[in-house]
Amino acid sequence: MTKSRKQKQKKQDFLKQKLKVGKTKPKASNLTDTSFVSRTISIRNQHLEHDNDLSKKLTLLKHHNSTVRKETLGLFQKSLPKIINSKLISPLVTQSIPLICDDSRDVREGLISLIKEIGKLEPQVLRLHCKVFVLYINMAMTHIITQIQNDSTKFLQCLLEDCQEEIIRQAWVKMMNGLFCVLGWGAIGNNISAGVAQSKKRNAPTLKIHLDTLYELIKSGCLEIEDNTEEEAQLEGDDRNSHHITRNQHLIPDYPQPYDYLKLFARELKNKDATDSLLQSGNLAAQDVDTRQRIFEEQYLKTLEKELDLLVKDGGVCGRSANNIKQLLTTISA
Amino acid sequence: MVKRSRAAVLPNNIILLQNLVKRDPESYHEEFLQQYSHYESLRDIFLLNGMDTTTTTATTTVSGSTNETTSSVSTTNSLSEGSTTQLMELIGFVSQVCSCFPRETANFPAELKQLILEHHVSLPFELKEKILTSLTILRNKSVISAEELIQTLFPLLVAYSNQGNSLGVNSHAKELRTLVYKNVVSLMRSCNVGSKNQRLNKSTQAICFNLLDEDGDGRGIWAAKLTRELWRRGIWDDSRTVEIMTQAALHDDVKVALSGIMFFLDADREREENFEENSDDDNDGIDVESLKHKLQVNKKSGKRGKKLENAIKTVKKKNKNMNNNGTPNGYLNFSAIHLLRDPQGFAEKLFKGHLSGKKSNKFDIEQKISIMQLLSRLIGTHKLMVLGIYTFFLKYLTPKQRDVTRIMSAAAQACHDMVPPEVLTVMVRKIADEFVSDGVASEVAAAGLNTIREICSRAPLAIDETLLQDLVEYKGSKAKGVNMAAKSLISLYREVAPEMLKKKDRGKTASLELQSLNKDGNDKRSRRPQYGVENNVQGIQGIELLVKWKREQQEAAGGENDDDDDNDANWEVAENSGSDSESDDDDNGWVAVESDKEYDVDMDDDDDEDGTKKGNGKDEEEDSDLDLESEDEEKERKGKDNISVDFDSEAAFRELASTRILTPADFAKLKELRTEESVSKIMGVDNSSNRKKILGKNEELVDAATLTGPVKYKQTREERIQQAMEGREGREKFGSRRGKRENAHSTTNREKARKKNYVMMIHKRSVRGKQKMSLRDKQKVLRAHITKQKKGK
Repeated sequence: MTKSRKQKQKKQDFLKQKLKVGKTKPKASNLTDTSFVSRTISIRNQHLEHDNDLSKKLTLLKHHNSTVRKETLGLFQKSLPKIINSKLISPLVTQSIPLICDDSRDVREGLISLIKEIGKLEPQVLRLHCKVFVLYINMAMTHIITQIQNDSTKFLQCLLEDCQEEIIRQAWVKMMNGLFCVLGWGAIGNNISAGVAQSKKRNAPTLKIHLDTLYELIKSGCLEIEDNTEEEAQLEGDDRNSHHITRNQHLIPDYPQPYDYLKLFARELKNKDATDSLLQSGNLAAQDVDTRQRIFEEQYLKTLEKELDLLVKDGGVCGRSANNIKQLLTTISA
Repeated sequence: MVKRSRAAVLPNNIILLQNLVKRDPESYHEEFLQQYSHYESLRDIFLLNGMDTTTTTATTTVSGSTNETTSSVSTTNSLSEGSTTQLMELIGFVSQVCSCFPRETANFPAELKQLILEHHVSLPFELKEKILTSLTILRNKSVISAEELIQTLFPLLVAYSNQGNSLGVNSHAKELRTLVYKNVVSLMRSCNVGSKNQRLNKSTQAICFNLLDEDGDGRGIWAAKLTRELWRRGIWDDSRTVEIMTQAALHDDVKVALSGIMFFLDADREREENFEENSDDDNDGIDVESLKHKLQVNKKSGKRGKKLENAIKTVKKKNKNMNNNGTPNGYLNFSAIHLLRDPQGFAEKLFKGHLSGKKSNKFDIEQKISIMQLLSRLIGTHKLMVLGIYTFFLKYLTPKQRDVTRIMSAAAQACHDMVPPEVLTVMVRKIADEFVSDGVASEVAAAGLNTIREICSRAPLAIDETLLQDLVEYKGSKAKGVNMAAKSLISLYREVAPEMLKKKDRGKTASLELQSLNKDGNDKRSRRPQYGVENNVQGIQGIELLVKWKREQQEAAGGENDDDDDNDANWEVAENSGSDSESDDDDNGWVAVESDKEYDVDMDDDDDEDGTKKGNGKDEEEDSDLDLESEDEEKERKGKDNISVDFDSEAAFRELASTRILTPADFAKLKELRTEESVSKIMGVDNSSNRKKILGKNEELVDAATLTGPVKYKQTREERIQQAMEGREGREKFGSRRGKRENAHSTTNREKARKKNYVMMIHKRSVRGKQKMSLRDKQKVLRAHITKQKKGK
């Protein structure tokens, strides 16, 4: 009996296991059992709490979906009062500025309202980023898509409200050029048929906005700024007002980046005719009112008068705006 | 009208605008200006972004949070990514339409150049690529000159071959390098189509020189690489190019030096391959049929015909080699080594700098062999004197040395007849001692003998009489390679200096010549090569053949024509007779003999050969000057032959060259005549002027692979099987067709019956009846079965 069982066991190893239909396959003899038993199961808490870190939302400004971008802008606008004095505001502005050239109209409008909000709360922020603003607005003004081009003046308008001084000082000539480009009053645009095509781009409401912006720009650039308020403030604060004019010249100016025109840290490509570029960018040349007026008379006055006459003849809303500008011109020339 | 309608289209993407501007630049001037200023503002933004990273880091470090810094940097980077594509589009656009508005875009190329040269570290790869292609477009539209482009490309090439730049994260150094390099090459090629742009070539070569001069890692290699490439394509083929490569070859850096060396070794071959692909194979213009007809072999046996075919084949091969090296027509065939300005200085510097000095350790043996090969080729081609190299070779000439055959071939190539024999004798002696002895393998001995033969064919004085005679004894060796090598040594010395051989080895023609010389009482040593006596080929090779042919033609014409040529010929004859009393007679006699000989060869060729063999045998046995009468006569004719031919080769050139200008047709005829002559020489018809050609082979290369001779190893089983199977290919129809079906069909009843169970069949009547068959019937059935089996099926 024992012998036969032993023999059977011995044989068992070398027998082929028969597979049967409907039954599971027998486990291999060298199988390792990986199952285990435990008394308790612990699961880490689910992270349901929402992160209020707004800095993580910054990347959503570059989201491929336009609604997401718009909503992110709205979110930031809502939370502006909280973050306006935090260090988050600087990346927010730098990241949202490129949206000036965004394809979607809604996003652009959202950006405009955001900028207005910022301007209300703290205009200094806009002033700080003025340079980048100017670059992107200029880019939008020359953009191939007409809608973006048309909206660019709205941004300019916004900025003119809040940091007029900066823009005028830094990029008045540039902006004038850009605006003329948007209006289609190019200096060399003699081809009539092309002009027709150009004028097709603009309908009355947008043209009105353009003209209003132009009015603002010319007014702020070529008229003496009545800084009565400032003077008064200084009068109040400073007793020795008799000295302040002479002394002020030797102090560091109070606007940001005063020595920018020296281009100490700027990276720029050198051009062959340096004088021309200087005049074009107008960084140095157009910093005071007299120069601006001279440039205005030399470069823009002629085309402006011609085009304005046409617009006044056409009448309508645009005619009224054009009339405003004409009146402004008379005051300037006077 | 058309203009108007087109202008009415408002473009809303760059590509469309580009199309419109190209068609009608006037109307879209405004749009173009707009886009140009768009480009300008984008460019400014781009430049500002680089600044932004620095400024933001500065501000945030003030505020003191490192976390903020990293995030702001990353945001500005990603910000630039979006505008990159726009900027790329605009750059492409402006460069495409640049030529329409040259005044407005005057600054554009300069800006692009500045961008890529000064800010290439911060620009993304795609933008760099775009700028490069745009610059090329501008070059193609000839907005900028090729020189300007080259001056932009080279600094980039240098900058990105530096270690520091290429290790950057997203620098794409390799891609950029290949891009720039490709641009340079294609630029050079397009500028040199048609006529060479010498100014550009010179300035680029100057840049290459400068790169090689400066000590910087990876600078010289680009100069070397570019030069090689351009040489290979046949764009640069002057001595300045070669000068660049000599600089490269002498460079301290191993890579650069090796590149230069490989250039000299391989460049010509590469170039020839390059052009061989282009040129068609046109049989070298040898008219086999006319040759056959002229030699009048078509009447004779097949063996002779085969011999002729072989002869023509070898001649063809030789011609091919000669054409590749020799003919100085066409700029292609000047090899780099020929264009060297100072070969002696180059060779000396190469030897001192790379092989013999202390710096030689930086090269491994493979590279050293390359250097040796180059040096030996230089020495051989230009007959230079670098005496140190022969003792240098001694170190490596042992059978156990790796790649010894290549070293041996280099050693052989380094010999020429202007080297003092004492120097070479040492080397030959060493080879003989190391390689040619009884204790070594047969291929080693063969390699040694072959090398000695190659050396001696270049410098016959390199071996002394006793050693030669010792080596010649190996002609009786059982190993085929050794045997052949020894015999080739014999045949070489039969031509060059038969006196050095033992009498029995001299052969018929050589010993006959010697005898005739003895008889004439000339100096016995006169034919023996002497050190320092040059025997160059002067004038045009084979011109005497042409003269001969012309005369034959004139004779055939019979002087009836009143052509200028004819007059000339008459005049020549008169002159000849005036100056040399015998010449006229000689000439006539010579022609007669020639025809005689041909006749001889045609009719009883085999007999003649037998006769010569017998003659040789007698020579060996009797060891004296006893000869048959007929042979004596022949010898006399031979002597005359030689004299007349010698006279011709010198005088013919003078005669022909002074009276007329050789036309291409003449050269073609000359070539044909030379092939004919060499064919007949191989066939043993006439060997009058072999000797001259033997010593002029300095430029020929010694192939290392052939030095060992044919080596036959025993095949493995697989090889044997494979060989057997190869023999059976294509012979299926001769094999048995049993069990093979020609066309698909189901099994026949017959086949089924065959497979049927034995027990079932055994009770059938048809089977049972078989047993009762008569013996005769059984035999019949069996016979029928056998024949059917044999037929198959």
